Amino acid sequence: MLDREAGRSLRSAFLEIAAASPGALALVVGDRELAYGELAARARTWAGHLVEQLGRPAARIGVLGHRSEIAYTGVLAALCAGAAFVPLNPTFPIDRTRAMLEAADVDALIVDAGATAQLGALLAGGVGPRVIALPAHDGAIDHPTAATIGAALDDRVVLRARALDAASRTAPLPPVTPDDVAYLLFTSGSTGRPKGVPVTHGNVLAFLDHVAARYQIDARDRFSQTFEQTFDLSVFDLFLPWSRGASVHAFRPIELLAPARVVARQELTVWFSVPSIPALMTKKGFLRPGIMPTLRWSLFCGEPLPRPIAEAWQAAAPGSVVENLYGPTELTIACLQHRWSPDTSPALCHNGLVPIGRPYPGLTAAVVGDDGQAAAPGEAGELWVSGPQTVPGYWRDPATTAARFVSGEDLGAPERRFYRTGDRVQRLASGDYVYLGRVDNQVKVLGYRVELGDVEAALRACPGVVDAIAVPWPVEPSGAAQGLVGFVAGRDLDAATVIAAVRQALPDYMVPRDLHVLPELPLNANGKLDRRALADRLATPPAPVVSTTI
Amino acid sequence: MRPLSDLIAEQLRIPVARVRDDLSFGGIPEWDSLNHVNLMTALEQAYGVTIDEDLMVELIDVRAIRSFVEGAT
Repeated sequence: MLDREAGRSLRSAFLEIAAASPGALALVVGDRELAYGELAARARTWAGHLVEQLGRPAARIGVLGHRSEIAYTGVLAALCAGAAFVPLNPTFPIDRTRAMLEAADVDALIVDAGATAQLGALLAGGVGPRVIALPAHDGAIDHPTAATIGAALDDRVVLRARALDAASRTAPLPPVTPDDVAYLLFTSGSTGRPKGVPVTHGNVLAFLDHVAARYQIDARDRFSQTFEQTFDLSVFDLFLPWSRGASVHAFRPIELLAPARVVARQELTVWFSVPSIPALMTKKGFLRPGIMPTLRWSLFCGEPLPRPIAEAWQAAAPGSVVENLYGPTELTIACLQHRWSPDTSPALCHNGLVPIGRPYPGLTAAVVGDDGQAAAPGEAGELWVSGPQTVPGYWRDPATTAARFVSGEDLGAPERRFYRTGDRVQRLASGDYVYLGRVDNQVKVLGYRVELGDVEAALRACPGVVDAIAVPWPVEPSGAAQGLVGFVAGRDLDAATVIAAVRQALPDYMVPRDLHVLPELPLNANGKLDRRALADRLATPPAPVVSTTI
Repeated sequence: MRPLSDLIAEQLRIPVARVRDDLSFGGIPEWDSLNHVNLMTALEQAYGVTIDEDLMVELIDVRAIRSFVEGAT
């Protein structure tokens, strides 16, 4: 139940815990262990200085960082400044980050140590906010492009470590309301431009209230932090523990290939990741029975969960309850859930995939046919969801908002506003929903949401490319893609040159692993580019990484 | 025996000239999670070694891999 008591927001529970139990462990990142009090004090101090420089509460603050103490503190500082945080990934191509920075229209930008080198190109031409925080730096920036960075920072207010961390008078926290935006994330867009999704405090509190009660989270819990901060599932990783006094344990990317030792060593109690991680563990024989005895919850989201993975993980973490969660960013992290039961779940699996389950209490789900009417019971259709986790719409994009967020009039619920997920589902007699695929050209690559049109637009932007198609490949039996392959037609094309150009525009997971140059692209009977024919030309996918013999 | 650089280049799908000692996991887009697992499997097959969880998260640059292979063969 969404509690709308005055002043409650994504930051409030964290700050209350910091005040009541300042010595409690909040965050472990690398060799650093930070207590709630220390983390909150630093975030509030940064926030105080940022608001002072702006002369008003901030609306949005960008955080250009990545699984680091600065990136985590930056997110909290943004909330303490009364702002929405806008996570930006320094491993993304600069042009993409620059487009997000411009679209988000942030008031300030907090920059992590490893991202400073990007500032010259990122902020060139006056792009970006007037206030830049560099908490990793004091004094001059030591970098070969320091002159360019310095030029980009000219005429801006630059707050370095000493100024940011200097004790400030305890500034009052700017108030926020449930309708204010807590975070603004960007997802892949079909037109080649990332789509912004603003999520309100009311949206995310509705989610957190449900999951905190369902999983009975308290201060004894120790959470894995596996998701990139630009992925909305990281809000679960961070703010579910921080809203109940539990601790967050950040994984280095390499540790995600063999996480069981870290889980056991740090005595984690809650695991949350994409199913691709256990799939890779299985490939190397690392998912062995009994290796993660401390876990009490094992949660998966972001892509389809194959039954053998659920079974193998259950054996590896026998004291835990395994759940499959489902939800797009537009419905705030997750909105359906299926609790794995060795007795009853196997019979509900469809195409070898664990059901995505049933809607959270308070949400309404509908299966809608091609005619826009509710599908008959048991029939397949598009999943529409309505409820307090439905975000207001897309960021400054009324046309796409109108197309995807629709009235429930034709479903007999005119007072409700539904989000059309684009996912094809079927509702079983048990009440569980099963995932059947997409109704459009969106795919999941290693859990990341990718619009194929976004990749194709980047390919077509390369000199000499006349047309392009991207297809997911290789694809696991679950339907999850490990990468993409591109096909291009044009004049005098060199695959390596095209790929190099695409790398300048797209994050790594969207860059085709292979590129085929063809004289022309095939058309189907309707005269449209034939994606399926091209997918069929690819070699048989590699042997499934999922073994049922472990 | 096949040069280590050739094996690494093949698994990461990069020209062998790019295989230098300081090349590392995550340092280039091609050395991602999937290719790292494939590379470890290829090393096991080529050199008859076993790479466990602890070793897999230590063999994250060409120098470490070369040192491991030289010690194991």
